[in-house]
Amino acid sequence: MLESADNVAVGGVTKGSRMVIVGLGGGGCNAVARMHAGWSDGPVVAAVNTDSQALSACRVPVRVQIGKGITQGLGAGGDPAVGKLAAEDDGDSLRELVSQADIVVIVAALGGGTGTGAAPIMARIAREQGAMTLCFATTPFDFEGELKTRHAEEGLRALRMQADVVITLPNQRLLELVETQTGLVDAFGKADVMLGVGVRSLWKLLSKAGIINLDFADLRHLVEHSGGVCSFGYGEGTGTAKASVAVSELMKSPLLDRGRILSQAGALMVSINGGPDLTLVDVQKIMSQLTAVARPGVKLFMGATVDEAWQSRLTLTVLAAESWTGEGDLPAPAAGFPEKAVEGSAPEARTGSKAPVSAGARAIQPTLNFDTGDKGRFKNTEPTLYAGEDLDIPTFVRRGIKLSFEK
Amino acid sequence: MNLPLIVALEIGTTVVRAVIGESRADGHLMITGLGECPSRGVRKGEIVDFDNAVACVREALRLAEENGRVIINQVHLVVSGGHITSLVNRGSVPIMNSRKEITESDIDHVMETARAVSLPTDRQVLHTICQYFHVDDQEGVIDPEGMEGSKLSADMLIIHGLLMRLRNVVKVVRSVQVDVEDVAFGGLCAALAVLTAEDKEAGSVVIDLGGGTTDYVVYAHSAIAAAGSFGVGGDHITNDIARGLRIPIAEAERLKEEHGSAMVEMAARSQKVALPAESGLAERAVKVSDLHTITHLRMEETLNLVKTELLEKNLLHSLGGGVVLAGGCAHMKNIVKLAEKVFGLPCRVGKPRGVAGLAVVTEGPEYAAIVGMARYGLKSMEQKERERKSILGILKDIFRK
Repeated sequence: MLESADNVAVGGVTKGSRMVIVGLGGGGCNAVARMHAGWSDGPVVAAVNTDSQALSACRVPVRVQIGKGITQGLGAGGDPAVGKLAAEDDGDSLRELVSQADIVVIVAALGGGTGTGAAPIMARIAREQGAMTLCFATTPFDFEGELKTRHAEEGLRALRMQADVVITLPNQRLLELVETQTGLVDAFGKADVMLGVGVRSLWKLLSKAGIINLDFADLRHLVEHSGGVCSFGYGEGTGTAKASVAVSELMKSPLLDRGRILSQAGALMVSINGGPDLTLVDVQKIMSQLTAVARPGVKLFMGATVDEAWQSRLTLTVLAAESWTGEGDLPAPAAGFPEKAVEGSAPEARTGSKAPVSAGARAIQPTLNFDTGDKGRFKNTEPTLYAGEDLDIPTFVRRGIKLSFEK
Repeated sequence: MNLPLIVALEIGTTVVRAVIGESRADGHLMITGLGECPSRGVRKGEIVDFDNAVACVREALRLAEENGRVIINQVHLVVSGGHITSLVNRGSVPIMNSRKEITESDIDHVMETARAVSLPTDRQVLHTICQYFHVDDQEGVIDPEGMEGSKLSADMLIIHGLLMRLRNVVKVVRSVQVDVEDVAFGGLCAALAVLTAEDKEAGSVVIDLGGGTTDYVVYAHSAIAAAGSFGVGGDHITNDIARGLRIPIAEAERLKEEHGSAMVEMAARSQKVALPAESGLAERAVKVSDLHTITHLRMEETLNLVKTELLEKNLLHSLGGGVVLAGGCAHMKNIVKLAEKVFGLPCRVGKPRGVAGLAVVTEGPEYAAIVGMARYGLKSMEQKERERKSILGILKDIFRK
């Protein structure tokens, strides 16, 4: 049942796209609650669960209980079939929840009952309502057992058939992020934080007018051609070298398999979030480092937004599509860039930053220079290629790590 | 002298070396001669400058001849290179005799079948190593002779490389009028030299961190499960340092050897190393933290290449014996710490085992491959004498025990 349906249509969504974030099941609800707690503004956040007790503990504006007649307000007991039935049973409430939305972001921790079973149903309903449906799904830690892993795999398959795009965050990869002494609660908390960052940056990208705009159409374009499988990566930097720090954090992140996914991706959507001190040089630096790692000819979408409150802080969010099926030219995300660039930027700065920002062939020139200049004694040998990277180029260069004397 | 003499030769990226060994009564390998020459004309384990490579081989063999007081006519050659890789091929034969009892000839037959793998024409098989037999549905049989069944299968690990590259190395040796008796993959040789029977039993990975290549061989469940090579090595570390700190290669090499570390050492973070003023370059100092960052990132990446292979082949959890490092880069400070961190397994630097003679050879991990080659050569020579026909015997002896 909807507890406060009046909240659905409102929310800080601008630029003509309304976003609703739906947390499904125990894990999904925890994640959205954590997200919501950290935001002062943002899209509509809703929690959907079979377990009434867990649901009432979830501090988000909209709460929907499903499957009352099936589970009597208890959880789905780890059975995805129960979760599925529950969602089908309360299809009307779910439909109402997303009826006004242009974008529905489903957040679910796969492997359990409600999240795994209900997420594909939720995605189908959202799409039937005409909304673009994105799903952030975590897959279980290895230690959670084989059954959960199998459930998650089945859930993921079903979800990929229903949602426009599925972004998976394997919890197992997060293990690399946390220290060995990290408690269990913290480990799961970390997963939630990661989900939160991903959803938040997506919302920001689409709803805030950026200095370099990236909009709903770009995202739709990426989603339509990506075959529905995306990975998500995140890097943050502060201080004077914030651009390099953010890039190196992104590259090191286990979320993108330490840059491997980045180098294999067919298409990339890059969102740069900075403070008023974000410079075009920063943007250029980031994009040239990314294009150096990425596959030649990668489809690149990029956007940059400025947050007045962020002094000397920069976040970098990347959606990487494993494959790219589109052909021909894109709606040229970079074409509008020089016109939309920050006022007062010198004309030469515009032309200077045009090349690395543009996609595909236009980015090849600086990449080539970069390669031969850094191969040193391996200049004339057959390159050692591995997973799209030329291993002859120093690792620190490929990871975009600055040495102290260069700063 | 009736004991067989063996000469192993390795045309490495950093050093060309030859060792002379003889078999002792107690089964140990006695090293009686060594010749080494800094390598020129080799990159990533492959010949790029034929004439220079020939000159180095000639010099190394000459030194070994002097040192060991013998004349070298033939060598056992260690080969490596990023082109070397492996696959598992399964062959099956029906058991034809009326009693359905597996005989030696069935075993020979199935191994022949499993060995017959079709590779692209530009590839050459280096080794075929039997992993397991399968009798009907029973998997993982070590010795099927005498068992009953209707079908016998064998899994054969095929290690292969690019024909032309392998030919080029052999051609270099032939150019100095020396015969190549046998070739073997460097990773396999290193494993042979450093692993104990217990290591093989428990499951181990040997990583030979060489100058131009990183070779690996995985033992799991008492058989060789995988092998391969990456064209990345110590040369890359040196190059990274030279590019990163903008110093000459020779200076980078010295820095790597004296101050390089596989982990960034917190204690040394703020320290600096002075670089001597050299022909036109002013004296300057480099930060140890910069140096460590460069070396750490490269070593970590290199080890992760092997880890990715292990993960893909689902072998990481079968390695109770852990990681054994060999090769020149195994000398790098903190390398054991880094490998333990990367693999999450116990790790050690492997020294050649069961060898006597020259102390440098028996102590250094960089000699693992060549000592392994000498042992491999000796064993196969002895074996050939004893039972010329039974290939099974050789394989069992060399790769299992």
